[in-house]
Amino acid sequence: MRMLIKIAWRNLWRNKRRSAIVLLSIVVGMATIVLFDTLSMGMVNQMLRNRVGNHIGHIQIHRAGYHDNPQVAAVIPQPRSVEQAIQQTPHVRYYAPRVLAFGLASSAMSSAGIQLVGIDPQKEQHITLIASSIKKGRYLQNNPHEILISTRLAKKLNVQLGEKIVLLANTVTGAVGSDVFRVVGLYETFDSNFDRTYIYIPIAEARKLLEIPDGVHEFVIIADAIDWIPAIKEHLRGALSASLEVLSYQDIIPLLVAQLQLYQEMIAIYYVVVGLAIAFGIVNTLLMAIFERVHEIGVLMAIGMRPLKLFWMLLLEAAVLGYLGTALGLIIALLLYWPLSHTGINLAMFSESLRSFGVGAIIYPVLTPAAVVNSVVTLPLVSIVAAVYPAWRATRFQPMEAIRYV
Amino acid sequence: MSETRQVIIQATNVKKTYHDNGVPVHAVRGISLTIYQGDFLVIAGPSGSGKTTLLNMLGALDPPTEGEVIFEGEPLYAKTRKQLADLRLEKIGFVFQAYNLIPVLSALENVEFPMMLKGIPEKERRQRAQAILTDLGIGDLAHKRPNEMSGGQQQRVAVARAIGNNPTVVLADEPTANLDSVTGNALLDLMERMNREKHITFVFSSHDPKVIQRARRLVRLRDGVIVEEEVQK
Repeated sequence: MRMLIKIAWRNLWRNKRRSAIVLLSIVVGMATIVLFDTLSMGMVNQMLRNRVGNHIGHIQIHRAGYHDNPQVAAVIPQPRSVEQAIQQTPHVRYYAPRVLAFGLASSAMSSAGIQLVGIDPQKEQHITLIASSIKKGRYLQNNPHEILISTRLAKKLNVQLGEKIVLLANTVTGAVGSDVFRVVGLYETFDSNFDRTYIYIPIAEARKLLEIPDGVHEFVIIADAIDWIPAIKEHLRGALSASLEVLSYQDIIPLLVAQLQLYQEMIAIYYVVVGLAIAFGIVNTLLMAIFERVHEIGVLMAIGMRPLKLFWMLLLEAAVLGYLGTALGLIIALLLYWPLSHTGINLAMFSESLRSFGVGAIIYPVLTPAAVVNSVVTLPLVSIVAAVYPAWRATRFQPMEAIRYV
Repeated sequence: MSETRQVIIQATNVKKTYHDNGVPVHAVRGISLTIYQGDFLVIAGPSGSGKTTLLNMLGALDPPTEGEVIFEGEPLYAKTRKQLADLRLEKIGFVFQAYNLIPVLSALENVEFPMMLKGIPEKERRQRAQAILTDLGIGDLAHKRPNEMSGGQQQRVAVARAIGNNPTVVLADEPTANLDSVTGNALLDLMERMNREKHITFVFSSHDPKVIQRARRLVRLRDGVIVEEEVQK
């Protein structure tokens, strides 16, 4: 085997320029695939992390049917016992109660439809990124009549920090509740749609506005790790009454989860396209290399090399080419990835459109083990498969026919 | 004289017809020939007389159009391609006019290569290959590539490769054609010694008088048939 590898290696360098060109195509293909993969994964992960981190959390508990039809009256019965069940569930890192309602925010100049979120500021800061997304002013402190809105909504309502906003929302009785709030902070996330809609007030204020004393619409949970989500969900389903729904983020944003899969499939298509391009290069190179060496192949057969062994020897040449290209490509990809994973790739020129997808202007590539495994397996495999036809052609020669070949 | 000796190859009325642009070319027109253990036989004749074609048919490289070749009692061309390859590996050594060494391998590796195909362990084959090269007087060239050696040196490596697996017979096609007379004679001395000391059977195709002079059996061909067969001293 060592001798065959030696022959394969030396044969590769018989025509240095040709091998170098094919090698370069594999290296570039490999590096591009890995970088494209890491960039796509980084973007999708960021999208997912922002959506989960902005509001959704890992798991939500509501009254059954609330997610599909959010009614102010659909509060969680006996929230204290639900809270106890959450506290007793293993691998729950944080949880927070929320009161939610659709409403209208009005300033002296303008008004906008909003998603009102009543929060326990202490607990909520562990759940979402809102506390760390404050651009101006401060985070909520459980004081009466405080409100946190985004810079985008502030611009739309034409209000400044410290100015007043009137919130209107249907109460549990069907009446219209209203109250005046003072803007204490302006936040900004990577999701422009989110920013336009979500406003935060202390949970006690929300309960007062909606006339639901002690009411809770939602408990949001953050797990120790994403891997624990199914177990937590299962545990809570067993521990809680059937009148409550326990939803993971996959249940809540299935579209985004599907998008993640779609990206992975797109990457697979990219692998196929790059793989095909490389395969044609290898087929071409090996065919040329084999037809240049027909005489030599005849000699190998004449001195007793079995056709199958010859076939494997030629596949080995392709494998050496494939593995060498893959190794070099991976090294280049990692050398590019390493700094980019820290600094990110600044796509500021697309920042507005990226924000509408819930992604920031700086994308941090994410290298997954799957990306490495896929690329390390795929391209050498493509090289070997591409060599099957030329190698098979070589084995079809009769020794004398090959020795006489000019 | 040779009936008591062991028969290695027996060709019976073999013919070979090629087609050149649809025109049949009768390279060998019906030859019967027996090769015995220990022969130092030369198939001589002018260019186009069918020497190489006959040698290739005897060496499991090219099946005859008609007739039969028996190798050690078995019909040669009834075998599969894989069986023929194994037979060439184990029983036949080839020396070609143009040396035909593998250019990317050193002299030592070229000699080792058929041993590797046969499955001889690396250490053993390395020692054996080195010993053969030393025996042929080119031990110091073991790590040279073919393009770093002279024609005579390359042909010695080719002989070393041919005898590496202890074949029953070595078929040498015009082995001295590309060598000067001194080098050619030295090579023939070497092969004579192998024949004498190691009892390796040699069959040559050649029209080189130096080779013909050395033959202990001489078969002359003309136009694809044997015109003369003689046993020399």
